[in-house]
Amino acid sequence: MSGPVTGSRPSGRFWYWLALSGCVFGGSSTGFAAKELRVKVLPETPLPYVTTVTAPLARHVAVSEPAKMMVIGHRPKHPVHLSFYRLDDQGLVIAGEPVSIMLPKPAALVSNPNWALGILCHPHLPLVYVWQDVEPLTGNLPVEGPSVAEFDHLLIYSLAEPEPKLLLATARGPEYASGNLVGGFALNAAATRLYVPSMQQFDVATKKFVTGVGWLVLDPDGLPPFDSVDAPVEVSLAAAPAVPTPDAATATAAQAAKMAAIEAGKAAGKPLTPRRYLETAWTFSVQPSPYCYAPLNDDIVFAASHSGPTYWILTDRLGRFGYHYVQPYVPFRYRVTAHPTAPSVYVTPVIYDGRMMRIEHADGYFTLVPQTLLLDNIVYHSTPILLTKTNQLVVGANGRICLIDLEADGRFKAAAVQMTVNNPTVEGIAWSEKFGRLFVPVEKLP
Amino acid sequence: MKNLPKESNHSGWHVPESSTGVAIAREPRPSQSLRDVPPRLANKTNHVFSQPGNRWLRITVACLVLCCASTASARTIVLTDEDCEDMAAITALAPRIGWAGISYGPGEFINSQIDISAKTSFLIRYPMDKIPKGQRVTKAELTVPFVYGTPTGVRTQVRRLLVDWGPGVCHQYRRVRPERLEWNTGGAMGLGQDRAVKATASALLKGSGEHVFNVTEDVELWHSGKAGQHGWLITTDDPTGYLRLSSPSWGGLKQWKLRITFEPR
Repeated sequence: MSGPVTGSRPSGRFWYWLALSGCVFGGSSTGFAAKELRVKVLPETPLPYVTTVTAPLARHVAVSEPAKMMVIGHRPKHPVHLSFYRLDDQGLVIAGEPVSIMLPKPAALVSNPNWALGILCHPHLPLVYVWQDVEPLTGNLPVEGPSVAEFDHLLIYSLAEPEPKLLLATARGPEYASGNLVGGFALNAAATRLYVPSMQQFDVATKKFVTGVGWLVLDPDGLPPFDSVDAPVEVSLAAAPAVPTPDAATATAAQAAKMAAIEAGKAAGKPLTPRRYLETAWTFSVQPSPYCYAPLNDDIVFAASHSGPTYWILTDRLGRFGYHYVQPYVPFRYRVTAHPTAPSVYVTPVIYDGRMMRIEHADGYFTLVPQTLLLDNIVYHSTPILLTKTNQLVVGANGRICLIDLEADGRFKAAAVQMTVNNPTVEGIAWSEKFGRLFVPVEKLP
Repeated sequence: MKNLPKESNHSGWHVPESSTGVAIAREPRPSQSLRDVPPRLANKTNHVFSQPGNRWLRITVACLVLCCASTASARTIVLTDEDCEDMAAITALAPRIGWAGISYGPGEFINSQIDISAKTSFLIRYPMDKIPKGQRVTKAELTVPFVYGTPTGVRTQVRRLLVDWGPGVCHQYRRVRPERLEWNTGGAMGLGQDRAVKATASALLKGSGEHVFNVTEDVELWHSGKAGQHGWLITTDDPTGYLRLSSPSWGGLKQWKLRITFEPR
């Protein structure tokens, strides 16, 4: 029986068509789970609200709305650390050379490169906060050597005058780790907490420093209150009461009085230390700690540790920290952004690919399974920023910025556009609500 | 062709994935082979198919035969954790946490693995809409991977959940959106209220590996609409032991499988 039938077996072409039809019908979902969205081509779309500014080797961008100033932090290879650009009333950069400064460091570390780790601007006062770090090792010097102990990590500049003026340099000593290239640096909405990186605490039991997370308290004048080193004041975890921002003259007077008290303490041999709150946790057991902060409010703080996003619920003693490993697993590269109104946290692995995760949360606790959005041919470089008016995410990538549409509940839509910019790695971007502008540093203007 | 069960190779046909992304494998049916066509019909078929202009007809007929054969026989689909959107690890140790995989320190939890114990359970719900309507589930097996546990073993149970759960699920709440609803008893412990009185399947598990639980009855109940599809609770009543599961949200990705075989009613 096999003889005649064999002659009628489907030909090679039959198998070709059958395989092709299989590819067509099966290809729409091959390799992608139902909860993963993919955008293969991002339409090129000029965004009228983008301000590009020539700032080579830019890593951080911050905008001071009260001072109408944009501050750029450069990578260590750049000859200056910070560049200040004046803005006009519409948020456009005023033509002219920026004011550039170097960050101060002790003479003993003159040969050690230092760099800006994070830059923030006070929302109501003309102040800019800079967290800096330094290469601590020269030869075989220990990380916490005496020279590093005199290195001030926090620098607060006043932008009230045409030239930026260093108001305060603080946060020194072994309670802050050195040598980190990245770290979380954020303000809460009321500007009463300055979340800082590299915090640590000496553990008497193990006689080692233990990594932690936390913040420096800020007064209404924008500077931290200072306490005696011997009798630190316990920090309240309750949400700070709304305090009206003082006018410029009142704030300046309060700042001057505080500076005088600090100097008096130094002269009397009783140095003061900025008031801070720190918690140690296994979740943040590795420096840099954390990689970024995304405070939702004064009770719920999202952050990124080395293996993924985390939450920190300050009112929950039993479930205080939740550490959520995610796929793709690319340690040390996660950055997080919290949606201010929708229950969503966005996790971006930088210098990897175009994958971004949306994790749903309930009262701050991560819940259910993340949703993933994959943009083809994209490599992210910046922490995403949420544009609340249009409910979109904007993120710096390889030679472009990407704009991703979101559903009302914060889920990704499979829709995104891009705007090409002359910067192969857009690491820093900043959004100004007042000016309605997105600031993007480029290597040079076209 | 991911997730294609081994049986799919027996027939020698390439079986495309379904439009839902689930590999559909046709069980081997020798009678469907063209080799088994009666000689008279075979000759006729051979004659028609051998005409130079009838290649399209040949393709069409072959596809029709393939489609008819696949719908008329039992089929097996394999769902993995990648198909699930609803999972949670809940614990009495931290009543609000939805991903209390393992305790990482005081007040700290991580999702990289999942411990189940008398206080901690894992919830998972697979989508049942991948089973076509009008089918009868003949077999369903849930594969649970585990990596570590109490040396003497832990009696591990798979129990059907009886109430809906969703965003914010934790030991205290079964969901917090759109409204805040608590379990009848914390941790879905309410017998006959939150979870089925009788365990669907149970096994003494120790060491590492994976175990296949027979969950046919539950899947048929859900597919037939006789019970609400709220997934399973994987837990233990052992007061001292624990079992560490591979987390489907991280290291155990694609290892949590639900293999369902069904046929037309």
